[in-house]
Formats: sequence, structure tokens, C-alpha cells
Amino acid sequence: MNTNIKLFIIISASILIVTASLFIGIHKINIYNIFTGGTIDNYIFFNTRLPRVISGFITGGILAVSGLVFQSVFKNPIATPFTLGVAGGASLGAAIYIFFSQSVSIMAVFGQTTAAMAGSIVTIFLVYSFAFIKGRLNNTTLLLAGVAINFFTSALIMFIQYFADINQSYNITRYITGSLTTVLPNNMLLLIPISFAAFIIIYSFHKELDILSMGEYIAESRGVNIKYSITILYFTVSFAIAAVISATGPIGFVGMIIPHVMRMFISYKNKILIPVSFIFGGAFLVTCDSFARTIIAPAELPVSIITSIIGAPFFIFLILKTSK
Amino acid sequence: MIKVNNISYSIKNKIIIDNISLNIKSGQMVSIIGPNGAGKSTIANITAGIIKADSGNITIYNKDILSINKQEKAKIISYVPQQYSYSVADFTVEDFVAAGRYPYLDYFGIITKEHLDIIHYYMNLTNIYHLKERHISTLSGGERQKVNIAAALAQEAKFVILDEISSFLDPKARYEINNLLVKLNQENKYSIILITHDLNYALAVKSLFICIKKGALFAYAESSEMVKNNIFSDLFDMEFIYLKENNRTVIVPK
Repeated sequence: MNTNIKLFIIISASILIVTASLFIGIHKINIYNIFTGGTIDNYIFFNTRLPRVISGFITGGILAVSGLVFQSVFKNPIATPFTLGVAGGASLGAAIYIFFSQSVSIMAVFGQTTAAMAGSIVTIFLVYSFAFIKGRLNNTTLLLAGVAINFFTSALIMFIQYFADINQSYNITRYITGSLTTVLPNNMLLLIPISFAAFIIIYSFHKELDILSMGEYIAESRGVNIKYSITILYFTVSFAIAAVISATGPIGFVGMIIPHVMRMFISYKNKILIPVSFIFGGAFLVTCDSFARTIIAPAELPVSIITSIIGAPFFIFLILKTSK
Repeated sequence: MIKVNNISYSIKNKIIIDNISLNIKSGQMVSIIGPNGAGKSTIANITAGIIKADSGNITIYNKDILSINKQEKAKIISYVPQQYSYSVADFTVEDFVAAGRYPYLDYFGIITKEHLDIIHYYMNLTNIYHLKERHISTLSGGERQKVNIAAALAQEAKFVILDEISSFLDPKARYEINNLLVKLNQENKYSIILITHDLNYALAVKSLFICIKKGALFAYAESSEMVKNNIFSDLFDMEFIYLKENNRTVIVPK
């Protein structure tokens, strides 16, 4: 099949899914009432559904593109947005906040997000500071530092949970099991510009990402400024993920499988792969979130459970189907 | 002209390169030879500007290599690594070679007709044009190596550094690549810097020999001197015999 046809299918399917998701939920929205002010349909559509779907779309898109960048930079097909410890740092930040805070108001969610953001930013700089050997960016060290940080933070979180009361422990678990319920409107004001900027920056490196995936020596020979490219990409991706997951908590699997699926079906060229991963990653998370909102209605499941439950078997199916 | 001035390099306090200076002139065919672990690849990587030396400097046409913009540098020196193994993206041959045009691309990275003509020219030169649509993972070792070379040539850099590229190849593939390098050197006036264990090839093409032993420059000699003074034996600490036939010298272990 022609790449353009595949692109058309993927993009229209994504638009369809996202639009349909706006009408899926416990409350059945009547499409004719949406623009009639004062109706309950109008209120739910603009104050609940639309922000939820937008935040799901942005989160999924950023996670997918971030995974894609890390896979190319580290030439490692199992790299994820969380490989470098950003999620660990965010979770630890949130856990510390939950442990020490007493309040249960709306401020608590805001404080938790801020603490998670602080935790991930500390991790970003810490991991990066390990990455230089003799003034040269060392991929392996960066990767190992990230993995070590992940173990370290999860040990500290368990330590905190051990001493926390049942309520705090529950809240920590709720944060670690990423969900879109915790995204507040003021998070959105931050998320939209950050993800937009991150996308533009990442996209401007599409040629470099192609060549970086060929290996360091080839990239050097071709004239790619490796240190500069990786530094910019690392910080862009890390800050974007930090912005997203400090609000949602870590949501797994999207960042790993979406780039692979898109690479298998559409193209390995980052020029196409970056936008299409963002769109399909977004649509995938929105779909999972629709399940999360309805499957045990009126209660909600955290979306990160759904992403892995749907994603893992689908991914294995794909691998079996494509490898001869 | 590339000048290597008093280069030293060490890893974890072990000296890998000990104060080496070299001159590589335009249009030269140079073989860097020496025992395993002598520092051949390291000096080649430093010369290509891939590794930064601890002390000393490299100049290209009298400009310090570190002061030259990476893309500009790539238009002067290209480097072919030992092997290319694909990782996340399994490029087609054409796309892989096209990456060689990176130093010439603008911000949007559009491969114009002119670029494509150049890409196809080097694919024809290396005799891989028929593999155009194939993915790297489906190629044989010899084919992969030619693709690897074609991509570096697409950079149109007049200095090409090749790191033991024929080590894993069968005699025919090796023969083809060796002929290609001679052609590039003699017809296209490329400077070829070859790190090699293929002493007979280096002798056959009458290359200039740069002999590295224990991180230091051991000898710097023409083919004829290498044979006349039996430098090979001292370099590798073993005895060789030289067989002469039709103006050609072949070296074999004694």
C-alpha cells in the first residue's frame, strides 16, 4: 500500500476516534444541545469531555513522540519516555508531597502536580550531569544513569509508602497508576503551549534523528552535531514529559508501542514518523481513556491500566505477524 | 591537506596514542597498519574529528578541525566505520545513501533532483544501484559494506577514512571494494586513508604506509622502503617472506 494512502487512513481514523470519544461517557450527550447555553449537555461537553479528550490527546501524543526520540537517539527499540528516570522523579516528588501534606482540597492536587514537576526536573538535571565523560556525551552512561535513577526512586517510594498511613499510601498508588482524572484546567494552560513547542523543536531535528539512529560514528561523519542535537532533544523531551506526567502520573506503553507500530506500517523516516506518532499516540490514549471512563461506570479505571492491557497483546500480535 | 600535530590520547590512564604527528596530502593513498590494539582506529577517529584528543591538534587546510562547523567538516572528511548494523530503523539502500547529503541540505532537508542525481551517481559507482529499494537488513556483508561506502562518498568529501572495511568480506567482495578505492584515488583524486590488515592490498596499490605500534608512530614509509628495509617484520614482531612476480610483491608469513 502507498504511504500516502496509509497516512490518510491513520489520520482519518484518529480524527474519527477522537471525535467519537467526545460523545462516549456515562452521560449521553445530545449533539443538538451542545451549543445551547445553559443545558447540561453544553456544560458537560465544554467543561468535562472536551478538556478530558484534549488532555488525553496531548498526553498520548507527547508520550509517543518522546518514546520515538529516545529510541532513535539510543538506537534502542525498547527505550521509552520513562527510560531516563523522569517518571521515577515525578512519582517520588508526588509521593513526598502526599506523605507530608495534610490537606485534601483542590490545592492538594495542584501541590502534588507541582511536587511531581519538581521531582522530575531534579531527575532531568541529575541524569544529564552523569552523561558527560571527557566532555563528550555518552549514550550508554545516560541510559544506565536513567535506569539506576528509576530503581533508586522506586525504592524510595516504597520506603515512603511503608511509613505512610493507609490513606496516603493509597494516594501514592493512585498517582503512580497514571490517570487523566487528575488533569486540571490550569494544567491544560501549561500543557498545550509546552507540547506545541516541544513538537516543533523535535520536528526540526527530524533529519538528525534519522542519522543518529545510524550510530554515532556515521552521524559524526555526516556532520551531525551530536552533542548539540542530543542535548536539545533530551531537555525538550524530558520537560515535555515532566509537564504531562506531573499532572497524570506515569502512563506506560504508549511511548513504546506507538512509534513501533507507526514505523512498521507507515515509515521509518522521522519526517513522517514524528507527526503521525503524535496523532496516533494521541488517538490511542483517548480511546483507552474512553474505555477507562466507561468500563466500570459510574466508577473510572486509571487509563494506564487500559493502555497496557490493550497495548501489550496487540503489540505481541503485531510482532508475531510481521516477523517471519 | 590534513596535518596531525602531536596528538596524544588516553583512556583510564592507559596511553592509547602517544604524541603522533602526520601529514596527509591531497590525492594520497595511505594505509595505516599495525598490530591489534596499536591505536590505528583511534588515530583514524581523531583524524576524522570523531574523537577529541587530549593534547595536540588536527588542521585541515590550516584550520583547526575543532573550529570548523561540523557540516563544513563533513564536506572535507568522510568516515566509513567497520560495519553498519541497523538498529531501530531498517533503511532502504537509497535512503541510507541519501543521508550522505546531510551536510548540503537546508533546514527543511529536501532532497532535490540535484541531490538525487549525486546519490544515484555514487550508487552506480559502487555498483549498488540495483539494490536501491532493498532494506539494509536483507543485504549481504559485501553489499552492506558497499552501501556504507556509497553513503560516505555521497558526502563528496575529498578525504575518505575507511576503518578495516574489508575484514569480514569474501575475496570477491574484497577485490571489488579494493578496485573501487583505487579508482576513486586515481580517477576521482580522492585521498584514501585506509586502516587495514590487508598488507598485500596496501602493497599492490603502492600506498604510503603509516605504521603504528604501541600508540606511537613506528614508521612512515613508501611501499618500496617497507619491503626493502623489512619494516613489516619489526612492526609485527614476526618474520615475513616476500614473493615477487610481474613487478608485484606479495608478503606472506615465514
